[in-house]
Amino acid sequence: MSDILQLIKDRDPGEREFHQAVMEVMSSIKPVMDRNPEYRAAKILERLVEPERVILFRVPWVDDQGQVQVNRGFRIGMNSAIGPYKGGLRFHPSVTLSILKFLAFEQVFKNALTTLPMGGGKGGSDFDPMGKSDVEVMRFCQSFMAELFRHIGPDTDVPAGDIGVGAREIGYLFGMYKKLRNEFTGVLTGKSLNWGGSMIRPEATGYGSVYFAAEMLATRNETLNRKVCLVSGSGNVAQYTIEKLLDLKAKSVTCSDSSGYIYDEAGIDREKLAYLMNLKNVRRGRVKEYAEKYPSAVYSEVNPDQDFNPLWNHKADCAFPSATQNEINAKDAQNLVNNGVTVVSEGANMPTVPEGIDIFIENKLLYGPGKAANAGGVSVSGLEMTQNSMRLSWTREEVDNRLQMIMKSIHQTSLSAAEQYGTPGNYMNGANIAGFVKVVDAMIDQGVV
Amino acid sequence: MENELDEAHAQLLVKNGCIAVCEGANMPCTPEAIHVFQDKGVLYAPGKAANAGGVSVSGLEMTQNSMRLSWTREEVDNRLQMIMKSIHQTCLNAAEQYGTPGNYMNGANIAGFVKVVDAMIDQGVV
Repeated sequence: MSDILQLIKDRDPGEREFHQAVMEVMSSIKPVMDRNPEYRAAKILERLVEPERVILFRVPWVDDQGQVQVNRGFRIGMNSAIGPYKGGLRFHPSVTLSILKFLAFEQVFKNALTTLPMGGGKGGSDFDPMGKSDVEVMRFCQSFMAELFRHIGPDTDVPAGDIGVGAREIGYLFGMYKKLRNEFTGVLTGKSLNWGGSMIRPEATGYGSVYFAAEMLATRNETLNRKVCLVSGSGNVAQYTIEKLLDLKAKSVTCSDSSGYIYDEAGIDREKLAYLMNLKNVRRGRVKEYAEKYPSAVYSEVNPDQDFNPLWNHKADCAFPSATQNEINAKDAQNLVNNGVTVVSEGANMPTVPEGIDIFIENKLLYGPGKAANAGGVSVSGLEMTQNSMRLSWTREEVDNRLQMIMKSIHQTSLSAAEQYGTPGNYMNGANIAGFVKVVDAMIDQGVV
Repeated sequence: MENELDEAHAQLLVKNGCIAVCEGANMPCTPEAIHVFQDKGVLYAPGKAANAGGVSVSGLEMTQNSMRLSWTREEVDNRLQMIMKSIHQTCLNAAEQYGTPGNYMNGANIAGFVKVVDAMIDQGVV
């Protein structure tokens, strides 16, 4: 394993985020490599860590003052062994090749778990949509697509949104693609319902994370009924996590944003959730206002001097980190254990630090890593592609049923792989192994290309 | 065919107790005829909504081609019924929402218009 890490460090010393992502997967799949010498003979790791292709391109555009601006565009096609490249576009000044390579690498394994035929890719630009007018964003998107369109298509590469790329940007990108290619196809996902989007797409990640938790609990003959749940965040993933928990008769007692969190012992019911959604999605307010509206709730401001997050220090049964990476540190993990939490389902990407994960696993918590637990989102993107291919739209119920089936499958696959490779119940290893095996077996089948 | 039913025909129909007019053809009623029906509270369904079953099943033909599979007669008929129900409900809602409840002509025009122009706005100036 260290050979591979040395290889990528020597070749691209500056790509630290990419090295980290590779290291994480390598640590899980060592037993797989040991048991399958044909993988080493085929130099499968050397092939896996090199993207199939990387496209870098100039994106010039003219701002509202008539000034020419120049940004850089990227699209990484990391692996297409099991399907066309699939992964989002990120428009943010922090975007670099290293960040996108690590995200694309993660995407390969996450997508492989979804049961759907999707490869892994990622792209974006260092363009900053913040502070730009609608028409500036439109002109940027049109210039961006004027290059990208040659490299993507419904059977080749299907981008979607990510940070800085929402419904507005997807619209402009789609309109330009259609104009240039003269075709109306499912080349992007996250589309509006009117023109090829799918029901349940907004809810998918949150719902999926709850379905995954329900599956984990079922292995111990338990359900989410009456469970007390700590949820972090208050955006898309958190909102629909709370909604699905209500459907399954569990109780969410927290939510948060970057300024602080609220603890509502009575639980966030449907009326309070509607208030929260309006607060965040329409008024763009802060969770602090929730405590003003519902005085039984207690608001705590973020305290930078504290080396733990008090949100994770309440008596509860389940935790759903749905805010951001590295929001659960080792102290937080210990607090969760001490407070009786037995289930952690990651709605966010990489919310728990490695030391925190160790604590969960040592204490035999049901720990669902993001790569598996939050795969509901990209799964429904895959279902959007299916509906586009069929030129038909499914009902809300049809999509939700398929999402449930997919989450069950992801759970079972991860559990089986963990068992098969000697760490029963370790969903993290299971998810990495299952994704890895599916992709590399396909790569072996398809020859040295 | 277009303009096969004019004002005089409309008045005759009303006199004879007609309570519903459903256009299978494209634009078969003249504007004056439509006026008579709407005035007299006759259920009037414009072609754009009522005869959309044809192109709907063409769309379902495209779906079956894309799937490389054929549905049974019953499957297609069920989907056609669902689509006609949906068209009806959409038109009724739009008519209500924009102040002329029960006016399927307004409802159909409004619903179709909004769906298309919202997508045009989303997709930028192209």
